Amino acid sequence: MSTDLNELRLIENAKNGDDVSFELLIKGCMTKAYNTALRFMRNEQDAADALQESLIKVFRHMEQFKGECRFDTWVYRIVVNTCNDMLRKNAPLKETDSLNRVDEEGDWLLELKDPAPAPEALFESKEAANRILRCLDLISAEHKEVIVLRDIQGFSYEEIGQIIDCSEGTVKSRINRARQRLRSMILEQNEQEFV
Amino acid sequence: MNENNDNKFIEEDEQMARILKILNDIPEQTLPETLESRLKEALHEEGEKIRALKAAAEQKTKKRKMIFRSLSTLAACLVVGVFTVSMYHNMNVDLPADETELQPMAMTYTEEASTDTSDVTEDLMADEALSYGAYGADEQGDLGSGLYTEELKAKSFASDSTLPESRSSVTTRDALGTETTEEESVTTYMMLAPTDPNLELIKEYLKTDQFVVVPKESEETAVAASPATTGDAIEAEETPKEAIYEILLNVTEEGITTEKTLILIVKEGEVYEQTPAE
Repeated sequence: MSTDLNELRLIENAKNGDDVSFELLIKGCMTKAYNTALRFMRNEQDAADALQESLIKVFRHMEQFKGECRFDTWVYRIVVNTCNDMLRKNAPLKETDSLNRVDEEGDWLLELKDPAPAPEALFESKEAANRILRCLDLISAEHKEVIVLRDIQGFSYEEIGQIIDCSEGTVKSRINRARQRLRSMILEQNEQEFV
Repeated sequence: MNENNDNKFIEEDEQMARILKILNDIPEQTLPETLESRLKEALHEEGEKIRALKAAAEQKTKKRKMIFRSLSTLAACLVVGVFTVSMYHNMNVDLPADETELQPMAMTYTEEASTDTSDVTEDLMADEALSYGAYGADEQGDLGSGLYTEELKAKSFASDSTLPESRSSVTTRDALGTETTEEESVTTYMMLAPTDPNLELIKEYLKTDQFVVVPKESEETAVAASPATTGDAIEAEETPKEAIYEILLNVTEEGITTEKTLILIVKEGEVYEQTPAE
């Protein structure tokens, strides 16, 4: 309760243009927001730009936050929308990113910090993730959106519903269709080799 | 056939599970170092903008409130002013003219009359004025005899050049004896100006030089009788070629004073006498 009150106070201060309060407010959701943007944009620089633009939008439009959902959910929603906008604008230009770089032999590489697995497993894991993320870019934006939010970022159905502004049932059915589509795409791309 | 299908579904489920596992295992990236400082700077700039906008909006609101308050004050003053003026007019309308104007006048003349009670002419003129009926019967009744007496005493001061200059509307009797209500006819004494061309003619006709000519500021001037004369009040109605004068005379015969109304018509330098109507 005290956290809520504190958050409310920070929100009120941020609404009055207090940037320090706003920084405290977004501190807890910055990393997740950045990773969400990263999965959408597939490029660290673009993800950072998208996140910065999103957070400035959030700060500028703080007055519009009425407390109907959690503040961080509202932030993720703006991040997702901003990423979608940027992807739409840059669609013809962008093809690669830092996560899915092409190596010297022309293969896709995913640069991930994965401390646990053994080198062989790491290679397999990176390679697999790399291929899946490539296929993720080939499915529709709304399917990619729910896959990123649910299967990569781990949001709940309710949170996803609030982020993409639709009902929980819609989210579930959309996720199911998106997964099927992703699997089909993976099979289409490299069925025997990958799976 | 069924086994093949089952195997296919199982295989699909396994594939899906592996895909999801791979997606779930994608590790979380840390924030780039440059992002935080860059973001901080951008947020600081944005904060300044927001604060400036807020301040401007607040100032605008304050200004609007101040204007509204000023306009409200002005409107209130206007309303009070209009209300005061209307009340003032209402008071003037509500009070009868007799009470507003005659009463103070009467009081004034009471004082003056009391200073000179030995003047016999005052009483004579008061009686004469009463009998003349310069005021309507109704008004006499309304005003009361005491007040009216004072008023008549006041008239006698015409001989001392202190005739009242004007009074409110009173019913008077014209040359034919019919009662009419005239504006300013409360001036019982329709006075002749010293320069009235008919003055000498009237004096000659009446065979007396003891008229006292009282100059007046108004267009109408008075000729009032001196205490020694028998004629004292003149009411004149001027026309370009013909002038009609109504003169009250106190005629004393064998110690009894009676009143006589004389209507004189002055036309082309000749004075004609007309018997007043009863």
